[in-house]
Amino acid sequence: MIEIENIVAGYQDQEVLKGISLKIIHNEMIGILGPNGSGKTTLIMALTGVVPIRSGQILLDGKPVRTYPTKEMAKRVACVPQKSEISFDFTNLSIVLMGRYPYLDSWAGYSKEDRDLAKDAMRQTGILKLAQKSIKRVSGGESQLVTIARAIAQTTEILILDEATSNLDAAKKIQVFDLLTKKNHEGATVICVLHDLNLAALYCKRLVFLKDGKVVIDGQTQDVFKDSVLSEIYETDIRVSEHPVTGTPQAHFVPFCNVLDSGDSFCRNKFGRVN
Amino acid sequence: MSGVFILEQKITAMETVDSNELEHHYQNERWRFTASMIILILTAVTSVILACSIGRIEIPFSVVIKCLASGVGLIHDETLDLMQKAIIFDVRLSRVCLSAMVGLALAVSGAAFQGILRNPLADPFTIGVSAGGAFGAALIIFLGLGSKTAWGLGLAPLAALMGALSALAAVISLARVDGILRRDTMVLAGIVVATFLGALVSLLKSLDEESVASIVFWVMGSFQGRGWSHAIFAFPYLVAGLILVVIYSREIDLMSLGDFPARQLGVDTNKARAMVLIGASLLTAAAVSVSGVIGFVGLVAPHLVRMSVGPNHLRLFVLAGLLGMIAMIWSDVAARIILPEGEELPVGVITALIGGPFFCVLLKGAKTGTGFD
Repeated sequence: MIEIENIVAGYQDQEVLKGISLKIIHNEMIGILGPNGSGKTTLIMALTGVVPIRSGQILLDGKPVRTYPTKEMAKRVACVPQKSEISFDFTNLSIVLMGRYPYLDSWAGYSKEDRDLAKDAMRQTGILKLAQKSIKRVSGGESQLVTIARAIAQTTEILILDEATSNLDAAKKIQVFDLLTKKNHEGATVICVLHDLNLAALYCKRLVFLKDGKVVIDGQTQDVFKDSVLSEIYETDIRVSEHPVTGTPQAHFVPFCNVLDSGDSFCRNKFGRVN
Repeated sequence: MSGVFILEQKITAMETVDSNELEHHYQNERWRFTASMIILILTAVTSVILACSIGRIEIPFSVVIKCLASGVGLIHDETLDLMQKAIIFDVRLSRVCLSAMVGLALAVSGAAFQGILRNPLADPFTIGVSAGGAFGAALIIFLGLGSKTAWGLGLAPLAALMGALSALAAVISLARVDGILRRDTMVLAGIVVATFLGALVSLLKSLDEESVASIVFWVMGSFQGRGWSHAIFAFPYLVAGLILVVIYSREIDLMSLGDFPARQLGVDTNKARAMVLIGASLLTAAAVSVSGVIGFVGLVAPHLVRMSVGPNHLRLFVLAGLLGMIAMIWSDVAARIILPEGEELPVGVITALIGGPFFCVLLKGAKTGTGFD
């Protein structure tokens, strides 16, 4: 269980998180959403202990996150960062193998078992055929799949994804989220930061919306995924309807100005349609 | 439904083959590394013997082997010429061993600096650490403390180490923009610091006419007149530095993902970075305190190895270290014999003359193959 209690965090003179409280219980699949610069990534950084918090506390299973040794933390929480800049041309397999680092004894190398786990993770994300290719020679989307495979090879109970599917095509997004759902059914807690509202509504049972470093709304997807809530948070006209197959709510964006097929045009202001 | 199921089975079967192939590939890679290591070790040993036989007084290869063998107690041969024996052991072998040590130290520290700073152009020379070491040692010698010892260790290498670390600290603080170490500013800062310290070394040397070592010795590097005492001098620093960077080699691998991802994977990044920087500076200090500033070995050897066996840092240290040894042994041989009058060239001139153009070819020829973006 993760308990975030009124945390304040940021960089240098800039305060990004301004008092966030959140409780994430075991085996949840939770989506964290919000406009650009709302503090989603910083929250993830604070949660994984790489950005220090100025006040408040984050408890993981009852103990403050900063009291965990880094390796212990990495055995419990795996994170797929938003962007990765890798400075040498490692093969994709060696990048995924790095997920086994927290389990290594100081002097031992990666074992056959580690390699099998890494390969299995790559198979699950569908990139086993890229194993021997250099990380420098794969596309942006493929490199995201490599990073996701690395997090899976880390075999942790908590999986955090920060915009991990932003460069993937629609089919691959669905594949990855199906996989995450499977992990969730197998007992993993999945926390994903997303910009894709519909993907979040489709897969996450609970959604948390951040804005200006604060939690705006937090609740079950069907309760919070509403026209009024979304429109207010994103300051644009958003309408919600039911997904034709799953019945989950899905968002539709209304343009400011548009020319319709009938030849009519319409414009709206911030508060709704004018004509 | 059953169609989908069959398709899934097919995919699984195909990927199992893939997986075995990967394991095979992995073992192959290991063999390739071991084979390269053995070849380089054999080349290094041969280089030592050949380098002992080449010089103003030509000593036949077979005599060198006999001398070396009797030296380690393998054979007893009373017929060996005592003069030749003395030349081999006291003059040449000591110098060859010293140059091998320096080559090893520079190549490994270059690889470590490049890895931990995530900068392809980092090496003890370009980031000013060598110049810092040279300044530290020169200052101690200028103050007349060059022969003094502290805690059983010579003051000059200690001062070289302090100089190297201070230069590194200066470069890092200069290169830090908004708390982030930028790769491009790092080399610029290194050049500024190296040039400034180089000027200070020249100043110290011109103030102290009596000093035996010439300015050229510190600025271009040389093994002239160096022997066993210097090798013994540098040895503990070399070993300590090697142990530090090798222990943290896997952490360097992970830190090439960036600081935050590495920490999220369980690396204590601050500790690892401090240890590797100290280790690499120790190696640089070991090299600089006995040979002055020698460039390009720390740049070229790691790049060559990375291009052929990949960026794994443990393997990189082993192979680049061996390659550095061989390169330095032969550079020093060239420095000894290239001038017809029997005069010596500073070995740094040789490494720069060969290494400079070579590095340009590397950069031009394999833009992606160098392993950096």
